[in-house]
Amino acid sequence: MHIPDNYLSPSTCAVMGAVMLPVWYIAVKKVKEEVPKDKLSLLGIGAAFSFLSMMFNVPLPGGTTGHAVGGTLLAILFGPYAACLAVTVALFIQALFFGDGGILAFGANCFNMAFVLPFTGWLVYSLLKKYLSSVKGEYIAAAFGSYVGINAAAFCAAVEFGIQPLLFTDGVGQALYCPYPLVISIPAMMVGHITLFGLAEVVFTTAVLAYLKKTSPELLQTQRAKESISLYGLLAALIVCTPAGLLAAGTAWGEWEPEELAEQNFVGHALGYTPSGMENGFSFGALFPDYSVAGLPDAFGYILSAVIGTALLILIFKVVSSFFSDKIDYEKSVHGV
Amino acid sequence: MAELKLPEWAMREENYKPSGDRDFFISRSLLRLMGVLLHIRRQAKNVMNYKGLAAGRLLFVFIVVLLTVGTRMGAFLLLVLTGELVLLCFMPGSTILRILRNALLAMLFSALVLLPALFLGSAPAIVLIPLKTFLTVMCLSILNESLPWHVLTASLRVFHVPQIFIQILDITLKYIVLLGEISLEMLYALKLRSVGRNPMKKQAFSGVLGVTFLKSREMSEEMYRAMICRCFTGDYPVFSGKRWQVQDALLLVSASVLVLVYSYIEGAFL
Repeated sequence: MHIPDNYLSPSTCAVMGAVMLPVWYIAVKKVKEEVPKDKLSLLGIGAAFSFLSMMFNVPLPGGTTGHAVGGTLLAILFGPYAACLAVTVALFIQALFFGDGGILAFGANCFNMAFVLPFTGWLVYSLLKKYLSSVKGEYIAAAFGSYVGINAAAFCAAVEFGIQPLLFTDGVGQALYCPYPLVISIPAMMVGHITLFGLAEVVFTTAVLAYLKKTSPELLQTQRAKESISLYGLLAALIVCTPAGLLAAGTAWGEWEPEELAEQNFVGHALGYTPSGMENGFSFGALFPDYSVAGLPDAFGYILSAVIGTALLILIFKVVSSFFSDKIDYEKSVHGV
Repeated sequence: MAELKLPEWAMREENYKPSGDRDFFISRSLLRLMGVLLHIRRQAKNVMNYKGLAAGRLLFVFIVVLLTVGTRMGAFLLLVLTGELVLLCFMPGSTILRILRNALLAMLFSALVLLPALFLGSAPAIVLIPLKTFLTVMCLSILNESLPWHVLTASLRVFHVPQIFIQILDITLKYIVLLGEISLEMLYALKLRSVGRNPMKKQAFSGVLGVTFLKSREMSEEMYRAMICRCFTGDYPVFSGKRWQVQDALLLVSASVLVLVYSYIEGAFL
């Protein structure tokens, strides 16, 4: 679901970025007000979970791959606004260091995965939770929330892809950017997400939620929470397992290199041309393209990328949380409200 | 009733406004001194993280720095960077910020010094050497934040560093604090007691330095006599009483892995 650069026109990217600006502004404000300082540094660990979940590629018959995002899990743990910021930072690190998702398309990717996904997931989760109050019910609510969340995000991405050929074509009628209209992009994106990738998100969300409830239940409360060994243990286990994501050999739908795109046959035959907006588009050389490190074996490079990304996310949120003074609500501490 | 008569000078209304004086340099020195003292005190409290043998950590840092400086491959530097970032993750935010700031400043400085290399045709050096500086400074800062200085100086004995060297280091650290406090008090006095414009302030300031020096001589003589009285023979025996712990074994394993990876990446085994 990481839209690369040049698949969306610069104007679409600008619009999506402009939509995200107020969202980020409100999210920062809300997080400053609502999330206590110690929990803010935990948010980094949450963002790291999301980052790692995106490294586990699940293959789909037909050659494409996809992954979970973990946005709903973060929204359940920290609230949707905090989840929005956490996924945004994770996406930023992916785009900047690992070339996963475009720099220009950052706004669009954030709209799908950091805004639509956690908010929809959280909304469905909290609605269902009202009716299903048992422990099992909470997991069911989380499962539904995460499933609806990731599908909503995938749908938005499909629409963004699909409107490109309707809006931007050259004189001969060839698409300038993403060549697939809505009739192709929506089914292509949704097939994977309704089936396997949605399932991956559900499994990831409920499994991690169940693990955290068992090992660090204080994390789920609104009060202060501390980092625990079990959290770091889970992160380490996920990092060690990341090379499993390399087993899925294909490229995710809509994330092909421009040369690869010409060979895709979603219109019934091979496309036959590379859209000119892509050929002469913006290109950014990431430090570790596709999570690989020059001079190291693939699996090792993948693990190293996972560790670097995880560490960077934890560090960013820890450093930012050190700037916030801890607000004490005396009213609350006296009356215990 | 007899009327109380005040002398005429006591009845006069006071209208004394001291003219402003430039004592910015005193405030600056005060802040600087306090900063150093604060740093040393905070450093001495790093005992919390102190598990395992300090000498093991020192050796590990030495190996990491040596390999970092020796390598010509970016991949190995990346590996070291990863390890250091992971260690940083377990520190509090303010400490992380301090370490990163120091390391980044050092990197910037070395990049500036190396700038001419860009025009002389050794472009890779301008990336590699600042990165190495960044990594080594970060490595030392992490050690510095995780062990108090007195433990570090004590552990030097394991490596057979001359005793006189350890003694000088140890006493220097203690005296920075003691003399720092004395000069801090004198600076306060100087600031509080001069009202209005005081042209002698700069002279008094150098007086502070003079007094601090005299005081240090006096104190060091006193301390040396006190040590002799308490049977100090110039020996610094190691009284650590600590044994090998899991952390030391872990460090040993990591050091061996690092050396192996270094040899692999540098092509020694290929």
